[in-house]
Amino acid sequence: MRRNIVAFLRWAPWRVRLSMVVMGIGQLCYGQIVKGLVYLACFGGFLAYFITTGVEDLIGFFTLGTTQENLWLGIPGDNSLTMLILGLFSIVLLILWVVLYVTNVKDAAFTARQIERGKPVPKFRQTLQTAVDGKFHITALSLPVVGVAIFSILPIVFMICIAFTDLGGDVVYPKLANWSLSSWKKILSLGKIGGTFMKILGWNILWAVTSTALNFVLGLGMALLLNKRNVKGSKFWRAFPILAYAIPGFISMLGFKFMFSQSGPINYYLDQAGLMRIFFLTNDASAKWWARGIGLFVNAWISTPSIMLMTTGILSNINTDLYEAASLDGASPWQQFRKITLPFVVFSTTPVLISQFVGNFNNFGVFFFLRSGVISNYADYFLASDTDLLINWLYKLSVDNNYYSIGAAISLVIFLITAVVSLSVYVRSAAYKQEDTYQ
Amino acid sequence: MKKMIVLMLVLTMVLASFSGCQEEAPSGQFDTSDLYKQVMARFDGELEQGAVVKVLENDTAVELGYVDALIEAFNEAYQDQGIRAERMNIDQYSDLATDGPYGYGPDVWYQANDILMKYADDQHLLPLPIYDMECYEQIPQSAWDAYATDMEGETFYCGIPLNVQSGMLYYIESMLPEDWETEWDIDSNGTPDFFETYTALYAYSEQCKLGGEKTQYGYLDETVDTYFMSGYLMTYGGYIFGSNGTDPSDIGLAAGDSYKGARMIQQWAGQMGNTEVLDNAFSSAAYQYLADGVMLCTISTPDVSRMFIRSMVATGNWTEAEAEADLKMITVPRLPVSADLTADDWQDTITKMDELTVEMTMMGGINGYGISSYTQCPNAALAFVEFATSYEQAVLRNQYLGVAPAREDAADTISKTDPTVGILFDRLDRGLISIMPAITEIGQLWTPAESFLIDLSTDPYRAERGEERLYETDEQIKAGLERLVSQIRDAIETLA
Repeated sequence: MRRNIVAFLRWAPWRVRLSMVVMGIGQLCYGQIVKGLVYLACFGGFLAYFITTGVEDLIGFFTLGTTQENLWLGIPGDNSLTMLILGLFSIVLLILWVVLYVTNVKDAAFTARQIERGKPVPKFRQTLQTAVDGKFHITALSLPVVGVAIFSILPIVFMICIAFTDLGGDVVYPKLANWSLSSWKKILSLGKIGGTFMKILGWNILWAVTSTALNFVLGLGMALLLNKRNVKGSKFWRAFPILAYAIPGFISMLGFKFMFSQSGPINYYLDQAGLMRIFFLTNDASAKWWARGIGLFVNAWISTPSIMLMTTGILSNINTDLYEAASLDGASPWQQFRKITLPFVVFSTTPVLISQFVGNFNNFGVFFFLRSGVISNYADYFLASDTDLLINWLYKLSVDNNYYSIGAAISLVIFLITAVVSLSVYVRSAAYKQEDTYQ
Repeated sequence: MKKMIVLMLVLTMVLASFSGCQEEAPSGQFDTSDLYKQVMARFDGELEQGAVVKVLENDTAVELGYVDALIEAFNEAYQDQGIRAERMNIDQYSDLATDGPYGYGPDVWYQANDILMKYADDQHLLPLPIYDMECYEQIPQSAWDAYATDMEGETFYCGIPLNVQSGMLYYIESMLPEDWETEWDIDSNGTPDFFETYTALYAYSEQCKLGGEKTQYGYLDETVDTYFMSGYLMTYGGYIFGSNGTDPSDIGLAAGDSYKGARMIQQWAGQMGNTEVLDNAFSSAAYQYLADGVMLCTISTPDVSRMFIRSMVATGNWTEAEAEADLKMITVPRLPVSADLTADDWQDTITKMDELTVEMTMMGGINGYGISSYTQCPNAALAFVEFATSYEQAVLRNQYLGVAPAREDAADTISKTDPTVGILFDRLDRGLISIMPAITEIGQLWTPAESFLIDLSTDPYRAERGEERLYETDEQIKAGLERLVSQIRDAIETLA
């Protein structure tokens, strides 16, 4: 690498060397006026940005502020959060500048080689033509890549940065934050937060697996049932799950919350029947599995119809000859289901199941609506109830209590778990390995 | 000549010492230290021309039309001075800490003192020049203290107290038992005995359970509400934070004999035998339940009296005027010294009241106005606050909302027709209203405390279900309170 650079520097003609000093000058010397001016303008823009605010923003990223603002006395100061955002922005621009600088040098070198070979200097029109022809993949992808970088990668990087600060709790604007591993120490230690984190993580994984499986089994079951020719009025029956699907989820959740509340109809009828009222959702140890079960049921109520609709479509695509042949070979209905229907449906729905898993892992709404406002003091949960998922706990910590850094650290853990599970399941699935099998 | 020189020297020293006193006067009333002047510099009295003061008020005041009336009156009064006010939607950018620095949020914010002071601690609310305000002399120091905060050893006030809040007992007069004057007024003082002591109220509630009364329950209340139930703990020595609510390292919910108070909450939960009270949704259902005659009485704050009246009118059994006359709001009953609602004969608690009972301490709050540190029009905002805390507006606010004003002159006027206000002032004076601590750490109280109260109030049902009771003995209740204290401490310290 080093040898290559040295060789390049020895070879580089003076115009290329000029481009290495000031972007675009080499191109201008080669007579590539438009391209040279574009590079020069970019160079000027970057330089102006970094001289006026960029360097300060970059330093601010590392210090997160040195002067605390006094709002009462009107003494201006730094805002750590703003400095973090602006610092990140300056890093992104710096990277962009480096990329542009390298392309500028490469471009000047390319032109120099063209001249060495006795070819004419490429005009700006030719460069544009290459951009929409030979290098079209770069032209087409550059905008989406920038979009993904700004709207996807930057927020994730921002969240990662927050997770490594002490921002939150007492440290909120105008107080200054610092880079710190304190959030990770709290999560990974065996203290209050660490203990609660492990308990919630265990339940969260159980919830995500169970709810995804339950929704799939129920959805497929309903689709198979309503697909049977001997079911009368299947179109009529199919309308009911669709209705449940069409009603906004939070309305259904609030309805179920009322039904299972202490003053709700279920407890009322239990009372009328001379039975004891049940603590379905109350903050009581006995309510733990009731509430979890109700959560699974409510989630299935909301999500099953979508699985049913999807699998109905998939089932209609299965070649009926397969079943006929299987019947002739003496396969029982169960064997036909296991060997034909299930693989076909699973193959087609794997990506959806992964997204369902991720959605369920981060299912904020169910327990927020069913059981907000309590913490399970009986089991030593820290600012969480025994039904909370990581996302609910994250909300309580970061929104209700302003513990941003711990919230960001938990977000990062959620992100890692869902990303690893989703990718590993998808890569191992038939849908990925045998993409053409069922086409 | 010598004498003259000595006299001159003495005079000079005396004058110098006087001037020294003035310079080193402790911070407080009418203090005009450099720091104070510097902080108050923005309030120069020059109204910002064209300014629109954004006001965030509480939802009940908006719902009952008071806020619109206030803003209309202000706009009319200031139409020639180039400023006006407008109402913000409820909860619109109400988090000054996150929204304020970016230019969002109200200029003037009405809230309870604990919430306002949470923001004042981090300077999101401005200290106000209270000594120059018309209302200063009219508001008792105990109310001002709810908004006090220190900077560099000097005390500043970040809110203007508007009204006093604390639990009051609500009942409907026409729902009283027909025989209350003969059976339930043994001291013939014209007040039903069951509203005088909790022991009598418990006895009456037991009678209601047997049937034959106008209401299904005597006293029914949300036994999981920290704001109201903490009074049971405080009466027997409990407190929230030490040093008058300013020391979060000293959490006192398990202090003294507070477990005795917790025991009574559990007694009430068992007596009520209604699991609806274990849910905080009960508080909004309580208005209708009282109007429907489900219970004879319940506890709530004075500012919701209109909600009770509205529910009564909705039943069709009362006109608005009749409902206003029939709904009564009185001070909470006295608690037994024994801390057992069944230990004494209820009649004895009336005849030997001083010996067998104590007055109940209730948690309370001072609601008021604060001005955002991010306001672009501090003088216009201050003009609005001056206007809204005037005598006329305090009286009008009471008429609309039934709240007890923090201004003494307004309270005097209203007390003539509404004794509630006088009762609240009296209780505040005698220390029977424990003002909610105005420090950030108070935010960590509510969820753990509510969870403990749910757990405690659920306990009477555990035995019925064949489950093991968790709070059967005093030691278990003490341990529960200690656990609650530890949870609050963890929340405060672990994440600090």
